[in-house]
Amino acid sequence: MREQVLLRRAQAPALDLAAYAASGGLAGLARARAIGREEVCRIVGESGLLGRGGAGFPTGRKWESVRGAAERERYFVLNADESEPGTFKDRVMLETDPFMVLEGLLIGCYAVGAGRAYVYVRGEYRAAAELLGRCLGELEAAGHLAGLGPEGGPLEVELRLGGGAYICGEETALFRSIEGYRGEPMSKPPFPTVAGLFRRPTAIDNVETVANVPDIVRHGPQWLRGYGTERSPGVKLYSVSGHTSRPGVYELPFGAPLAELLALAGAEDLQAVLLGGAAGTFLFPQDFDMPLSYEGAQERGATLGSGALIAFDRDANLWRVAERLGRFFAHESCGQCVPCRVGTRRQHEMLEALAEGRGLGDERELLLELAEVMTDASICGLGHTAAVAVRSLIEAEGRGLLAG
Amino acid sequence: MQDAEREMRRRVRALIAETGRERTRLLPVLRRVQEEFHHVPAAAAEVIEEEMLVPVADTYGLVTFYDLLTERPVGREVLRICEDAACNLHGAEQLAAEARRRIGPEDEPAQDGRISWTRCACLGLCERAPAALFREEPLAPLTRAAVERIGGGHA
Repeated sequence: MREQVLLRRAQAPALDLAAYAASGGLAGLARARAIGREEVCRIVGESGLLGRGGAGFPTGRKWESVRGAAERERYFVLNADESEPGTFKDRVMLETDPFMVLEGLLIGCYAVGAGRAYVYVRGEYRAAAELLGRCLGELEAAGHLAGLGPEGGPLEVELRLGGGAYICGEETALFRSIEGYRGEPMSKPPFPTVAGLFRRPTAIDNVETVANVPDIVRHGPQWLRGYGTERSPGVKLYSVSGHTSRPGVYELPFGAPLAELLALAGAEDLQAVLLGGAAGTFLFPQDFDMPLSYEGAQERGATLGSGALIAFDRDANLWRVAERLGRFFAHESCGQCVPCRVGTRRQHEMLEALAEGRGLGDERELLLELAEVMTDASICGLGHTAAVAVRSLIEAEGRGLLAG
Repeated sequence: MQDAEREMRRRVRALIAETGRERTRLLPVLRRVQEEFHHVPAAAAEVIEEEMLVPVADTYGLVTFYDLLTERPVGREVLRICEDAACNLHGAEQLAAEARRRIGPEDEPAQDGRISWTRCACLGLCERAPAALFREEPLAPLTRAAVERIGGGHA
């Protein structure tokens, strides 16, 4: 068994502040206060930490940009709106180590000079939200928020529950949701670090990303590089489900082979896996030697995405799986731009026909054309990636990789 | 105006007073309205317009956007059955069919308004597929027996 970093408290969760402090917690926050905002941003930047929500953007660059903004009204948002199909690692992280996530959040707020932060938890994660609320209360009562705001002022953290909308995990849609509007994404640029929540400079990070921060600040920039690869430092959480005997959340250093993850989760004799969630790619046994890292996935035309992995045995109808993904996107499209609103519906109709074996013969060609239109012309990532899995399935079918 | 509606308007005013009048509080207010009335009544949108200066059209926009808000009444308790990829591999469709048989049509309150069921997007409970939420708590893996109990009013 490999050393567990992010999941080290998973077997014996520290659910009250005393237990968390006794197991080494809060040392990162103490060090952050001692070394100052600029140094915290430098360390996080040098550590090579990349956002774990799916896009893999360097966290330090975001923080430095917000820290250096001319405007003094700034925000920090913790994106806990986990809703990528097949993804549940943030829920497990929140439920088993809420204080480590919150410590990372507080360090982030301090680093960028935010006076106000929002923790946006998906509406269906009520238990996780209640736990976070209680833990936040303990931290506040013990004085750990004091003086973290700009110029030693107060820091306020507000917990928000979503309303049941996948698109609100997209950062600009999430801002609109907090502001009191429909969660419709906005065109970027401007990026959130320049004009985010309430059009002010905003740092927004995923739960798993900030969970890395306390250790990075405590141990210095080289610590994260003790795990993983040159271009993907650190460890990654994977949510494994589907046809597997031990579904659950697993942690591996970047660069570990996909086969190792499958073995851990008890996934054997597979036809394929879907890696990266609904916007992920289908991978077949010939690719199970793939190193799980940003660059390793990229080389095979795949993506780690949120780290979701759904396993399929030889009897699974992958067109039926694709139909489910198509239904998901058609349902979750916010409807604001035409390529995505109409495209996801047409895509779903064709996938339904293929899953039921009543295709007219030209679906694959049309799906590929539609994929190009949605990728080129949609406003946000939902439309850009709604056809990624479908495209990978069509390619795999062409190479004769599908069973049956 | 009937007494029930007058009382409902009074309650919505109280919820707004507790939650806040700023536009940024709109979703939290609507979630509380949904929680109490099991839908967002048209009259609630009018109260929100008066108290929060949010046009009725905007409230309607949010209610039709977010899955956890509904225009029409749902059950006081809702069974949400995930229909996405991982749960589909583990028989989610058959469970939805069972719910239709045991409880009734999707999104229609049954048992005197006590209960309704709906299909929903991935709940993030994939390791316990097929997943459902009942009374906002995970009910996973969902079984036919559990659906039967709920449908029979025994859960």
